[in-house]
Amino acid sequence: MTSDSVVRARGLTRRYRRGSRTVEALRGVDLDVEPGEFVVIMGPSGGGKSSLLNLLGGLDTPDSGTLTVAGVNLHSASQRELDHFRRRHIGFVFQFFNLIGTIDAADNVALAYVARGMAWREARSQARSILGEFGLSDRLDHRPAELSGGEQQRVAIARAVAARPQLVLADEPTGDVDAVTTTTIMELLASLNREAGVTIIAVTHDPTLTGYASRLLTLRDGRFEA
Amino acid sequence: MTGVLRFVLRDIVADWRRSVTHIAAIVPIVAAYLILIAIAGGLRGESEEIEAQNIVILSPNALDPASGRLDPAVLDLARDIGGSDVASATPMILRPIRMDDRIVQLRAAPFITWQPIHDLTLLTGSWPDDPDEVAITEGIAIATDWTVGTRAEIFGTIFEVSALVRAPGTKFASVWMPYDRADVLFEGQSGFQMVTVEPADGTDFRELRDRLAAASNGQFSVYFEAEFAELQTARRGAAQNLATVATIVGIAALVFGGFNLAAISLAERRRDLGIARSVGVSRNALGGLAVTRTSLLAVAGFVLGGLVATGALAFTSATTVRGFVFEPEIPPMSWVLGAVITITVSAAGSWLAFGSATRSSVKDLLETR
Repeated sequence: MTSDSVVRARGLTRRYRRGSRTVEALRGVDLDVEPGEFVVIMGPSGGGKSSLLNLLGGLDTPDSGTLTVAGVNLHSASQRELDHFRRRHIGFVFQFFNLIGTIDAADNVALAYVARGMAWREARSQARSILGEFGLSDRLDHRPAELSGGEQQRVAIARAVAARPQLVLADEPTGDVDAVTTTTIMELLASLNREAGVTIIAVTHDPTLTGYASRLLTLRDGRFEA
Repeated sequence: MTGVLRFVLRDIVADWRRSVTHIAAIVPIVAAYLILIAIAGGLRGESEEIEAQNIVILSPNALDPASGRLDPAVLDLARDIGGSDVASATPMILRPIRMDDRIVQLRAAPFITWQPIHDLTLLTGSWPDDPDEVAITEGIAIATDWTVGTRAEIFGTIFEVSALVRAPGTKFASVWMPYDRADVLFEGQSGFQMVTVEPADGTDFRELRDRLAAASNGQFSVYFEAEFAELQTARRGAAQNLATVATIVGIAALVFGGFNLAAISLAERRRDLGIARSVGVSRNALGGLAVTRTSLLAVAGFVLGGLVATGALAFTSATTVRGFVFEPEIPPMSWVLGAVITITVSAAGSWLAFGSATRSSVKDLLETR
């Protein structure tokens, strides 16, 4: 680990209530990720992969342990600081895309620029530009329901990298697309990692994705396997 | 700002089903509020207070004197009991009549009493001097749009309005006809419903009223005319109070309805809130979008609700109710108040509901189905 680590986690735990029982999703996870890495985390369902990603992205808070991402102490950050953290440092790619269904592709991406203080008109112009780079020039005004799964995921990736984050967190990014689209999506992420130097942490069930990783980790029962 | 509005408008249009439902829920609340306001302010009172201390004798059923009929002997009794304290005692026919398909109150008294005793003041036209002429008061003119020269049928005979007059107290909305003409018109069947006793100069009005009341033996009631007008006014006040209560209920419905609509609308979009927050949109910015969206829907709902209320009231023509004019209309201030309440409450409800919805973690918001 270096002082420039993008991620530094020590003893992270996270428990959830499921009815009357408590599920320990993470049991003292330690993790360091250096800038420019492409980390792929694998493991069985329920192993804690998505829980870890939620903590790394400031979508959820740990029960114990310390977590620093992009220099921000997430375990003690306020909601306002977490908003700022996500806005400045993180891009998310979700399995089910998580696009807002009532607005078109350009507005979905523009939202990320607006979050960073850009005016709507300019944000939409920037969104059109980046969607063009992702091969979606003819789908700008389409709402998510009018796009294929692969197109939706490309919109989601465009949104994730719109404001040049340090870290992109991808939760099963190819879990809901076909094999051809899987390759397209992963090539896209790999090129972002390679050419723009974006650090990527992806969790997946799919073993074919390990070829894109600079480091492969396995998370099982809330702990990394040695 | 225009970018935010465009974004919100696009969202409203794209999510048109939820938007239409939201607006449709506001419309009846706004319409009900405006209609209740119109009804509450619809009863107009008398034009001026009565100063003279005339005494009126009515049948015991004083709440609706027009439905009673006095014994003709009451007239002589009043003169006998009053003696020299009574300057005059004259009968009056009080009768609801159908005039051009409207129910109005007819008052028929000897013409010589119209000005000195009943305080009628000629505004336009001329006093009736033809058997088929009548006078109408301002209240009737307001309620019917009749004016001098209007011809209308009363009891099978066409009459012409020759005068528009001002009348105080409970006479504010009535049609006036000379007593003898009315007696002929109704073929003596109507009798009379009121006797107006004019005290002589220097008479102790109260003592005279008490003397007359003591002689009634339950056959009639005795009031000062002003006192009777106050009684009628109090009844109108009670009706207005009831309408005011209904209006407050309407406003409360507007408040709670607006809040709940905003809360439901946001609760249904928790996942969208989570998505926006996951890309770093601040709570304040997101709250601003939610409030803008709800406010625009509230404006649309208010405009449509206003149209519905206006349309409904357009079918409600002004009418008279026992000497009062009932003319529902929405005062300009009520439009302003309604708009302010609708938009403010919707915005505040949206903000509060938003605060409640975003208290959850972003992860929980995203997991909303």
